[in-house]
Amino acid sequence: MRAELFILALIVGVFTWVFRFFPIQFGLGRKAQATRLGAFFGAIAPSAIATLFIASILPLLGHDGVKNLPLLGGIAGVVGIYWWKNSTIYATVAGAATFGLIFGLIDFMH
Amino acid sequence: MTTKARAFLTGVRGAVPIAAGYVPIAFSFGVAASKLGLTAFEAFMLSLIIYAGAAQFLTLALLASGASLGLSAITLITMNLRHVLYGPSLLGQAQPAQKPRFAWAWAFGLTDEVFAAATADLAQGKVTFSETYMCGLAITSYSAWLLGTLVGALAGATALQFSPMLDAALGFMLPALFLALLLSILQRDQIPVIGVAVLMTVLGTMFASSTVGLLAGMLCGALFGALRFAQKPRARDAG
Repeated sequence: MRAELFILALIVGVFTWVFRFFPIQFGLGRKAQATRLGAFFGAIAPSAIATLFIASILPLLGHDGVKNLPLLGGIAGVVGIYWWKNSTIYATVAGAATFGLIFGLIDFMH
Repeated sequence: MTTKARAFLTGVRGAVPIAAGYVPIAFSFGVAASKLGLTAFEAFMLSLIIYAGAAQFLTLALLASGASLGLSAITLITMNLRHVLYGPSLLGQAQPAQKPRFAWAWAFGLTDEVFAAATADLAQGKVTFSETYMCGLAITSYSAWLLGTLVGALAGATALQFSPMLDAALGFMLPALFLALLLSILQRDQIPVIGVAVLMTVLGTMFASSTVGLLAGMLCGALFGALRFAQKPRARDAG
Protein backbone atom coordinates (compact mmCIF):
# COMPACT_ATOMS: atom_id res chain seq x y z
CA MET A 1 0.00 0.00 0.00
CA ARG A 2 1.32 3.44 -0.92
CA ALA A 3 2.60 5.30 2.15
CA GLU A 4 0.76 8.55 1.35
CA LEU A 5 -2.57 6.75 0.92
CA PHE A 6 -2.06 4.82 4.17
CA ILE A 7 -1.18 8.01 6.09
CA LEU A 8 -4.26 9.78 4.68
CA ALA A 9 -6.50 6.84 5.59
CA LEU A 10 -5.00 6.70 9.08
CA ILE A 11 -5.42 10.44 9.74
CA VAL A 12 -9.02 10.48 8.49
CA GLY A 13 -9.84 7.18 10.22
CA VAL A 14 -8.50 8.35 13.59
CA PHE A 15 -10.29 11.71 13.37
CA THR A 16 -13.54 10.02 12.34
CA TRP A 17 -13.29 7.66 15.32
CA VAL A 18 -12.49 10.62 17.61
CA PHE A 19 -15.56 12.48 16.30
CA ARG A 20 -17.74 9.45 16.92
CA PHE A 21 -16.34 8.39 20.30
CA PHE A 22 -15.14 11.43 22.26
CA PRO A 23 -18.50 13.24 22.48
CA ILE A 24 -19.96 10.06 24.01
CA GLN A 25 -17.08 9.72 26.44
CA PHE A 26 -17.18 13.34 27.58
CA GLY A 27 -20.80 14.26 26.88
CA LEU A 28 -19.64 17.20 24.75
CA GLY A 29 -22.77 17.29 22.64
CA ARG A 30 -25.05 17.74 25.65
CA LYS A 31 -22.87 20.50 27.10
CA ALA A 32 -22.64 22.37 23.77
CA GLN A 33 -26.31 22.04 22.85
CA ALA A 34 -27.37 25.45 24.14
CA THR A 35 -24.36 27.38 22.83
CA ARG A 36 -23.40 28.95 19.52
CA LEU A 37 -20.86 26.14 19.09
CA GLY A 38 -23.69 23.65 19.54
CA ALA A 39 -25.70 25.49 16.89
CA PHE A 40 -22.68 25.30 14.59
CA PHE A 41 -22.39 21.53 15.17
CA GLY A 42 -26.13 21.16 14.76
CA ALA A 43 -26.07 22.97 11.43
CA ILE A 44 -23.15 20.91 10.13
CA ALA A 45 -25.25 17.79 9.54
CA PRO A 46 -27.86 19.34 7.21
CA SER A 47 -25.39 21.66 5.49
CA ALA A 48 -22.82 18.86 4.97
CA ILE A 49 -25.36 16.40 3.60
CA ALA A 50 -26.97 19.04 1.36
CA THR A 51 -23.50 20.03 0.14
CA LEU A 52 -22.59 16.41 -0.57
CA PHE A 53 -25.82 15.87 -2.47
CA ILE A 54 -25.35 18.97 -4.64
CA ALA A 55 -21.64 18.23 -5.20
CA SER A 56 -22.51 14.69 -6.29
CA ILE A 57 -25.24 15.70 -8.78
CA LEU A 58 -23.45 18.68 -10.35
CA PRO A 59 -21.29 16.44 -12.59
CA LEU A 60 -24.45 14.62 -13.74
CA LEU A 61 -26.17 17.78 -14.97
CA GLY A 62 -26.11 18.31 -18.72
CA HIS A 63 -27.29 21.00 -21.16
CA ASP A 64 -29.31 18.39 -23.05
CA GLY A 65 -32.73 18.08 -21.36
CA VAL A 66 -33.07 14.37 -22.16
CA LYS A 67 -29.77 13.59 -20.44
CA ASN A 68 -31.15 15.12 -17.26
CA LEU A 69 -34.13 12.75 -17.22
CA PRO A 70 -32.33 9.95 -15.30
CA LEU A 71 -31.30 12.50 -12.67
CA LEU A 72 -34.82 13.89 -12.34
CA GLY A 73 -36.25 10.36 -12.22
CA GLY A 74 -33.67 9.30 -9.63
CA ILE A 75 -34.49 12.27 -7.41
CA ALA A 76 -38.22 11.62 -7.80
CA GLY A 77 -37.61 7.95 -6.92
CA VAL A 78 -35.78 8.84 -3.71
CA VAL A 79 -38.34 11.44 -2.62
CA GLY A 80 -41.32 9.26 -3.52
CA ILE A 81 -40.11 6.12 -1.78
CA TYR A 82 -38.86 8.04 1.24
CA TRP A 83 -42.27 9.72 1.56
CA TRP A 84 -43.99 6.33 1.21
CA LYS A 85 -41.72 4.05 3.27
CA ASN A 86 -39.83 6.53 5.45
CA SER A 87 -36.72 4.45 4.86
CA THR A 88 -33.30 5.76 3.85
CA ILE A 89 -32.20 2.44 2.41
CA TYR A 90 -35.31 1.73 0.31
CA ALA A 91 -35.28 5.31 -0.96
CA THR A 92 -31.61 5.04 -1.92
CA VAL A 93 -32.03 1.76 -3.77
CA ALA A 94 -35.26 2.96 -5.48
CA GLY A 95 -33.60 6.22 -6.59
CA ALA A 96 -30.59 4.37 -8.02
CA ALA A 97 -32.82 1.79 -9.75
CA THR A 98 -34.99 4.53 -11.31
CA PHE A 99 -31.88 6.38 -12.46
CA GLY A 100 -30.48 3.19 -14.02
CA LEU A 101 -33.76 2.24 -15.69
CA ILE A 102 -34.30 5.65 -17.31
CA PHE A 103 -30.63 5.75 -18.32
CA GLY A 104 -31.04 2.30 -19.91
CA LEU A 105 -34.25 3.31 -21.71
CA ILE A 106 -32.66 6.43 -23.19
CA ASP A 107 -29.58 4.42 -24.17
CA PHE A 108 -31.81 1.80 -25.84
CA MET A 109 -33.87 4.37 -27.78
CA HIS A 110 -30.76 6.08 -29.11
CA MET B 1 -30.59 -17.16 25.27
CA THR B 2 -29.15 -14.44 27.49
CA THR B 3 -30.38 -10.85 27.46
CA LYS B 4 -27.11 -9.71 25.92
CA ALA B 5 -27.30 -12.28 23.14
CA ARG B 6 -30.89 -11.22 22.38
CA ALA B 7 -29.88 -7.55 22.26
CA PHE B 8 -26.97 -8.38 19.96
CA LEU B 9 -29.25 -10.32 17.60
CA THR B 10 -31.76 -7.46 17.62
CA GLY B 11 -28.91 -5.21 16.48
CA VAL B 12 -27.94 -7.70 13.76
CA ARG B 13 -31.56 -7.83 12.53
CA GLY B 14 -31.78 -4.04 12.61
CA ALA B 15 -28.70 -3.84 10.42
CA VAL B 16 -30.10 -6.03 7.62
CA PRO B 17 -31.62 -3.09 5.66
CA ILE B 18 -28.37 -1.16 6.14
CA ALA B 19 -26.36 -4.13 4.86
CA ALA B 20 -28.69 -4.41 1.84
CA GLY B 21 -27.80 -0.84 0.94
CA TYR B 22 -24.15 -1.02 1.97
CA VAL B 23 -23.12 -3.99 -0.15
CA PRO B 24 -23.95 -2.36 -3.54
CA ILE B 25 -22.62 1.04 -2.48
CA ALA B 26 -19.38 -0.47 -1.18
CA PHE B 27 -19.21 -2.62 -4.32
CA SER B 28 -19.34 0.52 -6.46
CA PHE B 29 -16.66 2.05 -4.22
CA GLY B 30 -14.44 -0.98 -4.79
CA VAL B 31 -15.00 -0.74 -8.56
CA ALA B 32 -14.35 3.03 -8.55
CA ALA B 33 -11.13 2.52 -6.54
CA SER B 34 -10.06 -0.12 -9.02
CA LYS B 35 -10.78 2.26 -11.92
CA LEU B 36 -8.48 4.78 -10.28
CA GLY B 37 -5.65 2.25 -10.15
CA LEU B 38 -5.88 1.25 -6.48
CA THR B 39 -5.21 -2.38 -5.66
CA ALA B 40 -7.90 -4.50 -4.01
CA PHE B 41 -5.85 -4.40 -0.80
CA GLU B 42 -5.68 -0.58 -0.87
CA ALA B 43 -9.43 -0.26 -1.47
CA PHE B 44 -10.14 -2.73 1.33
CA MET B 45 -7.81 -0.88 3.71
CA LEU B 46 -9.58 2.43 3.00
CA SER B 47 -12.86 0.81 4.01
CA LEU B 48 -11.27 -0.92 7.00
CA ILE B 49 -9.61 2.22 8.40
CA ILE B 50 -11.85 5.12 7.36
CA TYR B 51 -15.27 3.41 7.24
CA ALA B 52 -17.21 6.48 6.10
CA GLY B 53 -18.81 6.07 2.69
CA ALA B 54 -18.98 9.65 1.50
CA ALA B 55 -15.47 10.39 2.78
CA GLN B 56 -14.13 7.33 0.98
CA PHE B 57 -15.67 8.34 -2.36
CA LEU B 58 -14.32 11.85 -1.84
CA THR B 59 -10.90 10.33 -1.11
CA LEU B 60 -11.00 8.86 -4.60
CA ALA B 61 -12.05 12.19 -6.10
CA LEU B 62 -9.25 14.00 -4.25
CA LEU B 63 -6.70 11.40 -5.34
CA ALA B 64 -7.88 11.77 -8.94
CA SER B 65 -7.61 15.56 -8.76
CA GLY B 66 -4.06 15.35 -7.39
CA ALA B 67 -4.92 17.25 -4.18
CA SER B 68 -2.17 17.40 -1.55
CA LEU B 69 -2.20 15.15 1.52
CA GLY B 70 -2.87 18.13 3.81
CA LEU B 71 -5.79 19.51 1.80
CA SER B 72 -7.25 16.03 1.37
CA ALA B 73 -7.02 15.32 5.11
CA ILE B 74 -8.60 18.66 6.07
CA THR B 75 -11.42 18.23 3.54
CA LEU B 76 -12.19 14.69 4.68
CA ILE B 77 -11.95 15.51 8.39
CA THR B 78 -14.27 18.51 7.91
CA MET B 79 -16.72 16.27 6.10
CA ASN B 80 -16.88 13.85 9.05
CA LEU B 81 -17.20 16.54 11.72
CA ARG B 82 -20.97 16.04 11.75
CA HIS B 83 -20.44 12.70 13.51
CA VAL B 84 -19.72 14.46 16.83
CA LEU B 85 -23.45 14.87 17.43
CA TYR B 86 -24.48 11.27 16.85
CA GLY B 87 -23.23 9.64 20.05
CA PRO B 88 -24.62 12.17 22.54
CA SER B 89 -27.91 12.16 20.65
CA LEU B 90 -28.17 8.37 21.01
CA LEU B 91 -27.16 8.43 24.66
CA GLY B 92 -29.91 10.96 25.24
CA GLN B 93 -32.35 8.10 24.62
CA ALA B 94 -30.56 5.74 27.04
CA GLN B 95 -31.39 5.32 30.71
CA PRO B 96 -29.62 8.05 32.74
CA ALA B 97 -27.91 5.37 34.84
CA GLN B 98 -26.37 3.74 31.75
CA LYS B 99 -22.72 4.61 31.46
CA PRO B 100 -21.10 3.49 28.21
CA ARG B 101 -18.12 1.25 28.86
CA PHE B 102 -17.45 0.01 25.35
CA ALA B 103 -18.27 3.13 23.33
CA TRP B 104 -14.66 3.15 22.10
CA ALA B 105 -15.58 -0.01 20.16
CA TRP B 106 -19.13 0.52 18.86
CA ALA B 107 -18.64 4.24 18.23
CA PHE B 108 -16.24 3.32 15.43
CA GLY B 109 -19.25 1.95 13.55
CA LEU B 110 -21.51 4.91 14.25
CA THR B 111 -22.06 5.91 10.63
CA ASP B 112 -24.89 8.07 9.30
CA GLU B 113 -27.04 5.03 8.56
CA VAL B 114 -26.29 3.19 11.83
CA PHE B 115 -27.14 6.37 13.74
CA ALA B 116 -30.34 6.85 11.75
CA ALA B 117 -31.40 3.20 12.21
CA ALA B 118 -30.65 3.18 15.93
CA THR B 119 -32.42 6.49 16.44
CA ALA B 120 -35.49 5.24 14.58
CA ASP B 121 -35.54 1.89 16.49
CA LEU B 122 -35.20 3.65 19.84
CA ALA B 123 -37.75 6.35 19.00
CA GLN B 124 -40.29 3.74 17.89
CA GLY B 125 -39.71 1.72 21.06
CA LYS B 126 -38.55 -1.37 19.15
CA VAL B 127 -35.48 -1.64 21.39
CA THR B 128 -34.03 -0.13 24.51
CA PHE B 129 -30.55 1.30 24.26
CA SER B 130 -27.76 -1.10 25.12
CA GLU B 131 -24.15 -1.34 24.06
CA THR B 132 -24.68 -4.95 22.96
CA TYR B 133 -27.46 -3.84 20.61
CA MET B 134 -25.19 -1.13 19.21
CA CYS B 135 -22.41 -3.70 18.71
CA GLY B 136 -24.77 -5.98 16.74
CA LEU B 137 -25.87 -3.07 14.57
CA ALA B 138 -22.36 -1.71 14.03
CA ILE B 139 -20.52 -5.01 13.41
CA THR B 140 -23.08 -6.26 10.86
CA SER B 141 -23.07 -2.98 8.94
CA TYR B 142 -19.25 -2.79 9.02
CA SER B 143 -18.98 -6.38 7.75
CA ALA B 144 -21.35 -5.63 4.86
CA TRP B 145 -19.31 -2.55 3.95
CA LEU B 146 -16.04 -4.50 3.96
CA LEU B 147 -17.55 -7.39 1.99
CA GLY B 148 -18.97 -5.09 -0.68
CA THR B 149 -15.67 -3.23 -1.00
CA LEU B 150 -13.66 -6.42 -1.34
CA VAL B 151 -15.97 -7.96 -3.95
CA GLY B 152 -16.07 -4.70 -5.94
CA ALA B 153 -12.31 -4.22 -5.81
CA LEU B 154 -11.64 -7.84 -6.77
CA ALA B 155 -14.19 -7.64 -9.59
CA GLY B 156 -12.11 -4.76 -10.94
CA ALA B 157 -12.61 -1.69 -13.08
CA THR B 158 -14.29 -3.58 -15.91
CA ALA B 159 -16.81 -5.33 -13.67
CA LEU B 160 -19.73 -3.17 -14.77
CA GLN B 161 -18.86 -2.72 -18.43
CA PHE B 162 -21.25 -5.49 -19.46
CA SER B 163 -24.19 -3.47 -18.13
CA PRO B 164 -24.16 0.31 -18.61
CA MET B 165 -27.58 0.43 -16.91
CA LEU B 166 -26.28 -1.22 -13.72
CA ASP B 167 -23.17 0.95 -13.88
CA ALA B 168 -25.36 4.07 -14.10
CA ALA B 169 -27.58 2.88 -11.24
CA LEU B 170 -24.61 2.19 -8.95
CA GLY B 171 -23.15 5.55 -9.95
CA PHE B 172 -26.28 7.23 -8.63
CA MET B 173 -26.23 5.31 -5.32
CA LEU B 174 -24.31 8.00 -3.51
CA PRO B 175 -26.36 11.04 -4.63
CA ALA B 176 -29.47 8.98 -3.81
CA LEU B 177 -28.10 8.13 -0.36
CA PHE B 178 -27.28 11.78 0.38
CA LEU B 179 -30.74 12.91 -0.69
CA ALA B 180 -32.40 10.19 1.41
CA LEU B 181 -30.26 11.15 4.43
CA LEU B 182 -31.13 14.80 3.90
CA LEU B 183 -34.83 13.92 3.87
CA SER B 184 -34.41 11.81 7.03
CA ILE B 185 -33.00 14.72 9.06
CA LEU B 186 -34.94 17.52 7.39
CA GLN B 187 -36.70 19.99 9.66
CA ARG B 188 -38.44 23.20 8.65
CA ASP B 189 -36.04 25.47 10.58
CA GLN B 190 -33.04 23.92 8.80
CA ILE B 191 -34.23 24.95 5.33
CA PRO B 192 -32.39 28.35 5.36
CA VAL B 193 -29.17 26.56 6.45
CA ILE B 194 -29.57 24.05 3.62
CA GLY B 195 -30.31 26.89 1.17
CA VAL B 196 -27.07 28.67 2.10
CA ALA B 197 -25.10 25.41 1.85
CA VAL B 198 -26.56 24.64 -1.60
CA LEU B 199 -25.92 28.15 -2.90
CA MET B 200 -22.33 28.25 -1.65
CA THR B 201 -21.61 24.78 -3.04
CA VAL B 202 -22.81 25.80 -6.49
CA LEU B 203 -20.96 29.14 -6.41
CA GLY B 204 -17.75 27.60 -5.03
CA THR B 205 -17.80 24.84 -7.65
CA MET B 206 -18.60 27.25 -10.51
CA PHE B 207 -16.04 29.90 -9.68
CA ALA B 208 -13.27 27.88 -7.98
CA SER B 209 -13.27 24.07 -7.75
CA SER B 210 -15.36 21.19 -6.44
CA THR B 211 -13.21 21.01 -3.28
CA VAL B 212 -13.76 24.73 -2.60
CA GLY B 213 -17.46 24.20 -3.29
CA LEU B 214 -17.61 21.39 -0.72
CA LEU B 215 -15.83 23.35 2.00
CA ALA B 216 -17.74 26.57 1.24
CA GLY B 217 -21.09 24.79 1.36
CA MET B 218 -20.46 22.95 4.62
CA LEU B 219 -18.79 25.79 6.50
CA CYS B 220 -21.05 28.62 5.30
CA GLY B 221 -24.16 26.56 6.04
CA ALA B 222 -22.93 25.73 9.55
CA LEU B 223 -21.79 29.32 10.21
CA PHE B 224 -25.17 30.58 9.06
CA GLY B 225 -26.77 28.15 11.52
CA ALA B 226 -24.60 29.51 14.35
CA LEU B 227 -25.42 33.12 13.38
CA ARG B 228 -29.13 32.38 13.34
CA PHE B 229 -28.78 30.87 16.82
CA ALA B 230 -27.11 34.09 18.03
CA GLN B 231 -29.89 36.23 16.56
CA LYS B 232 -32.78 34.20 17.95
CA PRO B 233 -32.53 35.40 21.59
CA ARG B 234 -32.36 39.03 20.34
CA ALA B 235 -35.44 38.46 18.22
CA ARG B 236 -37.21 36.97 21.24
CA ASP B 237 -36.10 39.89 23.43
CA ALA B 238 -37.35 42.36 20.80
CA GLY B 239 -40.67 40.52 20.61
